Amino acid sequence: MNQIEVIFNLNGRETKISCDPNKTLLDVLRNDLGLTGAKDACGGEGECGACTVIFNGKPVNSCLIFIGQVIGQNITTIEGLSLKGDYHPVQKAFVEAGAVQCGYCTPGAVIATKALLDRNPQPSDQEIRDGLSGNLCRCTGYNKIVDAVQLAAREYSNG
Amino acid sequence: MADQLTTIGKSEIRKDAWQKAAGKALYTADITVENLYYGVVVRSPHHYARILEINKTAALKIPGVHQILTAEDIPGEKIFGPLVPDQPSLAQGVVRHLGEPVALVIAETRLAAQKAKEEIKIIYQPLVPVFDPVLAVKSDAPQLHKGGNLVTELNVQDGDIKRGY
Repeated sequence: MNQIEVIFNLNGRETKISCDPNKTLLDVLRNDLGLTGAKDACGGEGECGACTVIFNGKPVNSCLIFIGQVIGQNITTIEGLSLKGDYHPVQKAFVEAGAVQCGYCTPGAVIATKALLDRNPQPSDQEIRDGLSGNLCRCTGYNKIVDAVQLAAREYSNG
Repeated sequence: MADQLTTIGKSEIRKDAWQKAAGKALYTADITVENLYYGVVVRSPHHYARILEINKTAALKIPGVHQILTAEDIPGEKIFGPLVPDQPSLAQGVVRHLGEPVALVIAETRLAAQKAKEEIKIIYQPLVPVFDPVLAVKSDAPQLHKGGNLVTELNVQDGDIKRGY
């Protein structure tokens, strides 16, 4: 298959790759760029949210985005949240609230939380649950995740 | 009292939580090694059926497909099981539950493995399944195993009640 050339902004940096056009953004992140923070937990069906990335400010399942769709767009992955070595307030909140168990859903949940708080820094309990409704956790840790989002929201309002 | 305790009543932060929250914790699927192959399991779409034919010809022609293994490719013991070894690693002639592994595709890429999975032609003859454990042990139930549907009977006994009391 003919390769396509893709230039996009990944975690604040211009990134250029050439790859099969039938690849998904998740494929490219994990296999071509070695960024394995976004996970594939449902087999690329957009069910689980473990592969969530921020696409021009919105949380999306990167397994449902064809690589051609990201040309010229802005993508933030979990790796982009702690670029300078320091953890993002959402990451700190997840750790401190005990919202991390097996951790497979965590990068997706952290990213979905960041996207939520960026557009709504003081979400209600229901808005938190709606905002993270696309992120499945099989350690049954939803309450702790909601706690983490609330904790992060307090950090957002203080900082 | 409680505020003098150093451990009880205090929550510890998980050792691995930071790595996981940063997306840096490596899981098996995150590790790449040289000459890595991808495996995809072909599973039964039937609850109970006889396997009449498995045709791998078209699937094997897909570029990147390395091998397609079925029960007959397994040397030696083909069954396993914790209490009673009666579970086939790959189905032999018959599938006894939905999702039972029938074949294993090994390919250079996940995409090639998935394409091959779709190209394997398996002909099944569906049989009458049994879903209820109570009905399954009745004599007129479909008999899924040679020795009947009852896996085993185990007596579990430990200690000596008389001595204990």
